[in-house]
Amino acid sequence: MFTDRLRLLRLLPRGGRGLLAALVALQLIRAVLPAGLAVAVGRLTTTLFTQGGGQTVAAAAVAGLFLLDQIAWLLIIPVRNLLVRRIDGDLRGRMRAIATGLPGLATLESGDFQDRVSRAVDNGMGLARDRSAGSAAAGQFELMVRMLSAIAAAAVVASYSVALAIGLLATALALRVIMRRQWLKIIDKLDADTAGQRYEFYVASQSVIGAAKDVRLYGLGHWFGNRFRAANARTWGPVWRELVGVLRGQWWVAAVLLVAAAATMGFPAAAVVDGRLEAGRLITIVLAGLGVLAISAMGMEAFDIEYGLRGIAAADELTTAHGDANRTSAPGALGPPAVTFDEVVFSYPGSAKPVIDGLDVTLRPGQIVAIVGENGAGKTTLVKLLAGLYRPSSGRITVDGAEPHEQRPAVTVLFQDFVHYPASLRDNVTAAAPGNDSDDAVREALRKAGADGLPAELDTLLWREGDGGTDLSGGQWQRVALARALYAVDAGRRLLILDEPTANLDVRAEAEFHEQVISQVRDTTTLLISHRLSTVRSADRILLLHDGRVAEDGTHDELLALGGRYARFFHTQAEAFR
Amino acid sequence: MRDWWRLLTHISRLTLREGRRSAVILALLIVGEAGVIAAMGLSQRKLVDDSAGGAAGGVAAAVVLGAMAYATSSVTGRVRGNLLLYLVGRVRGRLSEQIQRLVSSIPTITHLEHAPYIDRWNRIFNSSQALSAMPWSALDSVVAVLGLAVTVGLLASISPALSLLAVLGVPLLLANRRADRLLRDSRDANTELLRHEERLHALCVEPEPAKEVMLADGGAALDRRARDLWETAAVRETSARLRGAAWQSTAWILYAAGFAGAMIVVAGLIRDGRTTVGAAVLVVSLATQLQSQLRVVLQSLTTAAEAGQAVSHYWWLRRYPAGSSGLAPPPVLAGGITLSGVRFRYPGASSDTLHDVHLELPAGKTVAIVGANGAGKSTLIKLLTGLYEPSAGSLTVDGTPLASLSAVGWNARLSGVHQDFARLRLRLRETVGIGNVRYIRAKPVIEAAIARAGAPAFDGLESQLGAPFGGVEPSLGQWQRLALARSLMRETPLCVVLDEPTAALDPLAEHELFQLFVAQAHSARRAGAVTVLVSHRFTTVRMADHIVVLDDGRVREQGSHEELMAAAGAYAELYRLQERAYR
Repeated sequence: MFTDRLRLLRLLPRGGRGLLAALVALQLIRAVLPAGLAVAVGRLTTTLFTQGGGQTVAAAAVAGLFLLDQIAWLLIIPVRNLLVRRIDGDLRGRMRAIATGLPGLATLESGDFQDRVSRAVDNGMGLARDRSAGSAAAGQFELMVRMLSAIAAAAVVASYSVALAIGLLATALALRVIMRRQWLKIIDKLDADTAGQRYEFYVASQSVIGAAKDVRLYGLGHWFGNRFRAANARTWGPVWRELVGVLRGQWWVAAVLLVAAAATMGFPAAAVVDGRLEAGRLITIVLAGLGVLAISAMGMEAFDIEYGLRGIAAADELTTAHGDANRTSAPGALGPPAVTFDEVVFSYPGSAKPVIDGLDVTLRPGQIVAIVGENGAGKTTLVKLLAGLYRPSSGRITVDGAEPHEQRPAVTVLFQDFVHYPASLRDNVTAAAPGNDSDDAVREALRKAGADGLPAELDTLLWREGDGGTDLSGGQWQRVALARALYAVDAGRRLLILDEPTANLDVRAEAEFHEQVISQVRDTTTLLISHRLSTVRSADRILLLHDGRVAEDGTHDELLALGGRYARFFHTQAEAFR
Repeated sequence: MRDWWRLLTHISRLTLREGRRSAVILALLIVGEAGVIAAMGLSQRKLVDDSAGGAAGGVAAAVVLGAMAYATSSVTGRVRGNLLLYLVGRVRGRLSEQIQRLVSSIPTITHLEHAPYIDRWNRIFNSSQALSAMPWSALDSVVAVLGLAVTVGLLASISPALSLLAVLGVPLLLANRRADRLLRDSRDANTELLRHEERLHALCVEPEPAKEVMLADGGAALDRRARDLWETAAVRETSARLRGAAWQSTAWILYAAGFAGAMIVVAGLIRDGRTTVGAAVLVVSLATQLQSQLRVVLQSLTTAAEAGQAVSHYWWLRRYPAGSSGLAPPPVLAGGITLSGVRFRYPGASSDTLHDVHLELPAGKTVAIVGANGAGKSTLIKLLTGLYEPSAGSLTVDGTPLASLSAVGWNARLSGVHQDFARLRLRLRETVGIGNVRYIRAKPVIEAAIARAGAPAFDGLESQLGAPFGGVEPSLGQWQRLALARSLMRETPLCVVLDEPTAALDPLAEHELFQLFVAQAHSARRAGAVTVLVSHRFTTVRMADHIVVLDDGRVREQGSHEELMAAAGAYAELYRLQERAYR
């Protein structure tokens, strides 16, 4: 527990040292103010009792301390807020770095990893407050300041009676510990089911963002609404029960506080009556005593700390497990690489049936190889294996001698579900090989990809949700993605993989695809996956994938002559044109 | 203001429904707190005066009163905090659900695609907490004002001049309102930045997009952009907060000066023997408590302001045409669907996507739409399904304008697959079954749809889909077949739209599936269904009864395959182009 607390404090400098220094100074001022104010009010009443003058100074001191308290409070809010945001932003960045630095997709796809990532940075479903590492760290600091404040107040009380000071402090701390435990129980309930919560949150959010068109087409608004209600009940039901249970146990807390407050006022007042304490100091002791008791009140910081700690723990687990994954990428190669698959077998986790089952093939440098096969034949899996995103279950893949899952090849992949970056047209092209942006290279890539109808201005934001943003049609997006791949080739990625690059292109673009695009790309080993025979037939070599292995291998003409699956595939389609 | 009252009533009703007893207890606690401050102040005065005067009985009374007030106030504070969490949390859940239902019941999707609209409903979601707390912030304000009146009364009882201290609360209120407005404006300006950051973040941590980011080594660049957006938002908010704090500090300086003055006045009264030292203690106690009372008022005003801003957004959403009213679509399509002079322009775009489109989609026929990328094919489909409303011109269904049909009723008679259909990672049964929610538990019906679409059965209907949720992740082709299976769940659609539903399938599979749909249309001919297909594959397109060639948002030519081939225009040229690959 102590190490946890220390862990939180160590987060604070991430928000900036100057900012932290300002926060520390302001908080310290506020920490000693209750004790100071108690003394100042005591001094004022003393001057009033004795009527010896100095009342104006004493009154000004009270008002001045009061003002200082207000202004410190006003400044703490923005300073703390910025610090918290910075810590949270940094943690989000760390999660991104870990996720994109993973050696492969298998970890990223695991439920365990996704749970932790969503726990580390809140998904917005927090209990009245969002889970935030920054808030936890700032809360921890505030808690220490409040302790300090209570101790300062206790010191003032001790000037009258050490026993009373210790008694009050002990009572206040004990109450605090008990109440903290109650909070913990609530948070336990809240955290019990992150995976379930994440899933329900996903389902609920689909009705608004992910599946907007289907929701309307099939009238699913209410179905999703009911799912949301069920998710809410499942997530919060246990929390509410716990919360209401905690409320019932407040009677005896009230009793303890009643006694403590009575002691705070009664003992010093009795001392004044007996003449053991001068009248002017009574109010100082009473105010300071109440200041000690104030620490028993649970501010939101206790919740922030406990809730935020779970998120930090998740982040730390990820950092320990994956933070130093030193994946190496091959430098941009000068020439096209050679690729070999040697008896490669791959099955997805939890699935018994291999998707790739004994794949054995060599691609020579500079070859343009097309892969055809039915849906589910394992074409896209093959791409992911070759790019090093998955590790073969058995067998060996090499790209210029190196295994892709150990050293990521200088590869660029146009995936079927390529990314629509919420960014400018330029950034959407350079995304494939960031670092050396040149507008000429971007325009050249767009030209090669046949992107004529696109916005002329490279700064155009391709994100309709953004201010001044616009969106492209499906086919236009595909050309941008193609330009992205070509740009990467230009930047030295010599293994080019195109997964269904013409699926959304129009007829003319499809017909011209080979001539306009493929034959223009030089010095790459190219893997082309397509259902479109016009895209496939001019390849140097065609592989037909069936049951996870290469069933047929040859040029278009050779495969036609072979009279196998490919020939049947071709003839049936040709038939349709007659 | 009327909107504000109506929403307050609505949420109060929701609150009472969610927990009547808790709400009553909470209300009593809040009202009870009004007296606590006065009790504390009075007890301290009595304590100081009677102990100095040696009146033991008075001291005992003061101690009892003070201790009770203190214990009540701190326990009430906590109970109240938790009750508030409980009630507001429950109401917030209910309210979020309502908002979600509202957003998804709007038939068009302009509000989901256009930045200013997205910002509006995003802000409603984000303010759901403040909205749910509305009844309590309102009650807080009322009670704090009551407490304030008691405080001012007590101060005036010492000397009427002291009640002027309350007047100094006015600059505080003004400064606070200003600070609120500054903060709100900065938050509004930040919504887009933070949404952008959230998207970039998702690109890095969600497996689907992250695979591309990993291969491109693009993580660092995306991270940098996301960090910049986050920092800009944080700094902007901080600077707004600081400016607000400057205004508030000025007001507090005035107040503190007044406070000092009040104490000097009381000191004078004590010197003249017109009041006791205890009165000075009472003034200090009240003036410092006045500050915390004011703070409650200020805070509830802030919450009320936040809610107030969301109120307008909320009613905007409520008044958005919901589409449940209107005529019922005809049970059977006799004539067909007609587009006359239809134009469409995206909000904020500088030119039209569709220009003056006239089209007849005859009942019982299959219509194929072909054209280059960006020609407006998908936009046309979205107009047919009511996702967009035409900027000019009209669509009529058997002569009845589509706009006068109930959107819900029309949707219920549609079926099909959009180009960017949803890949819903639910259970297999659900992801297909939502095509017709009535049959979501009817296994034989769902199994039949899956089988007809040739979709994968995985490990049975209850298989969880989606790798992030520990299920199987279908390939894109498999997703398309699942989407097709979903569309087959509808029994008697009037209009079936298929927007490149098979782009990821091989041509044979597409051919076979399309035949399935044509057969479907045939059997549904009694209902006169129109099937509208977008495809780039001419072997499929030629099977349609009627073919429309779109070019740059205009209808270039239309007719049957034979007619268009005979006309030797754009269609014939494109057909021959594709045919070449099969020679």
